[in-house]
Amino acid sequence: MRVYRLLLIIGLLLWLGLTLALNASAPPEILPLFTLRFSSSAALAWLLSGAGLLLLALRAALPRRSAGTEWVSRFEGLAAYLNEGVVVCGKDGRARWHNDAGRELLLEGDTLAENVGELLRRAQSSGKVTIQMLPLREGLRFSVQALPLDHHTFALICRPLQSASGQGAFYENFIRRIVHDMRNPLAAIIGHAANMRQSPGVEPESWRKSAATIEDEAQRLARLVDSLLFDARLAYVPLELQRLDVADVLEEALYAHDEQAQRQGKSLQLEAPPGAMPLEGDRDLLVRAFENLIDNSLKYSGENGRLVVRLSDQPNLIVIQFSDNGEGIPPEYLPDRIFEPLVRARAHGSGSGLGLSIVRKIIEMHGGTISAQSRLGEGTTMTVRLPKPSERVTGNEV
Amino acid sequence: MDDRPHILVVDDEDSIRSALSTFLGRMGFRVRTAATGPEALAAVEQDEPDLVLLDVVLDERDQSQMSGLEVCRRLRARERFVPIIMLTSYPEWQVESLGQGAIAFVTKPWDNNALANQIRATLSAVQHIRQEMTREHNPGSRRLKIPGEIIIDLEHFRVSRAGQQIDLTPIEFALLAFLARHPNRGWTREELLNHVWDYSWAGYERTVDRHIAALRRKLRLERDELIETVHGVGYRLVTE
Repeated sequence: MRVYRLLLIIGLLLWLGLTLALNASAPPEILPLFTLRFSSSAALAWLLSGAGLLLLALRAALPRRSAGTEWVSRFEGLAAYLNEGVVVCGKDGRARWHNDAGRELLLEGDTLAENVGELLRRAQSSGKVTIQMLPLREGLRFSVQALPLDHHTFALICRPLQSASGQGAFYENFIRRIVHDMRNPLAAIIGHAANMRQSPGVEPESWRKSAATIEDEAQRLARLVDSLLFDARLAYVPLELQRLDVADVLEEALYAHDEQAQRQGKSLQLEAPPGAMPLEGDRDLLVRAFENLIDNSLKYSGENGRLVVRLSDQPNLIVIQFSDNGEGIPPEYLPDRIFEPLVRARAHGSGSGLGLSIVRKIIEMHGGTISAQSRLGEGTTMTVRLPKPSERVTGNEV
Repeated sequence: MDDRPHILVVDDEDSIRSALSTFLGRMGFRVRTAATGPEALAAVEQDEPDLVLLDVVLDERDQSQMSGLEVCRRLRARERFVPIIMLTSYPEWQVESLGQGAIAFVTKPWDNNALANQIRATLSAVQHIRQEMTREHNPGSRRLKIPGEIIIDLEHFRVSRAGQQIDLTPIEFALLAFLARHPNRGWTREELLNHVWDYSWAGYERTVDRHIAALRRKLRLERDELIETVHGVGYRLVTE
């Protein structure tokens, strides 16, 4: 920039000097321009080159007119390359700007698609960041966020859920597994009930066994149905975001399992730095996610089970680690497979097989990530990373 | 010597094994159970069961475990044929080609009576074929060639058309084998029920129609190609 300015100044000085030199014989009180001893077209060219130099010098010398517009254009250039769909729109849902993915996923013509429009209206009435999972493409669900930028402008950002990224085959597979997981308990229930009905006489011992099996298998089905329903609800119930203290949320989740842990002679412990650690989130969902993690640790730890929940503060992240001394997860399920729906590290456990996938979904809906580290026979650490609330956005109470 | 038919039940879930063994025991079968693939293979080597009731265990999440399909493959590689009925949670698997010869499918949850009928019919179909084979001592008759490039391997219960393996259930196989051994003659549905299915089991004539339809579909036969419908009578396999 400096060299450019220096060259401009040298250029201007040269131009002036030459003009003066060429007009040396003219009377000094007359402007050199009009007394040039050249043809009028040459004079005009000379004049224009001088004016051009002057303009360039002025532009270089003046401060940037508006830094804002330049950043917007840079941001637009950047956003065009994102896989996430981005749309900036007004209150009426008309797009002012969008990238390709945004047009494809969020817009119909130049207006927001109907279900996205509803999300925008909720964001308008609450004036807060609003997040919802929406089925934007056949079979695929996306997490869509509506961010109020100012009173009249909103940004909508959508990204595919990690668990649903890619293929429709994922859902077919999901349905197959659910069918498998339901048919097995059903087969056992129907088989045992039919045996009881068809038995030639009263058989107290075998009937008691059959009844116990029927009860267990029906409970298994009930848990699966509950989890499926909850999982489905996540798709359309919007997040109720509020400002929370993470330690407070963790304590609530731990408290719910305190009695069970004590009964089983296991220990639950929370290690948190002093002071509140704010988080923007849906309290009920986060409690549910944390409870699922605690529940898992208790379920798969032995007699001297011990779960430590460590909360730590990093520049832009809140990190929560759930470390247990349980039986661990086989390496083939790490780092990600264990979070896939209906994947169980233990064949035919009592769980629904949806617990960890629900946890991941909830964490992702909050813009966070979860990962698992584990050694067989030594224990498992689940690490949850959640973004800290951004002051710019959350402080914007419209 | 226990001459009750011997059935091996393979399923990784205790609740399913117990339901099946109680029921099958009451139906007069001798039942042994196995929870894993290796256990099942060992039990077959030891006991030579008359029939294996095998869970597909389409459990790709449990990689350490041998799937039912793998067990099936290994049982088919043995010299002696053992009929297999697969228990599956996925009905669509029934139409998928396994290329393993003579396997029947039953969907979970099963119906006790239908399952018992299926087992009896399969046992008797296999028994009929074995009896006929021991009656004839000509080794050449263990492989039948019929028009349409169809080869029937009576020893291993396999059928191929133009070199391509066709998956039939044991009963479909027995029906085709019976018609092929006694060609160019019309058989009534009742006669077919008697010769292919269990004598003691009162099957319905519609059952025969259903199996003929399945044979035509799987062998990709045109209408009245090879297996003719003899109106007012039944069916005839034509070789001349």
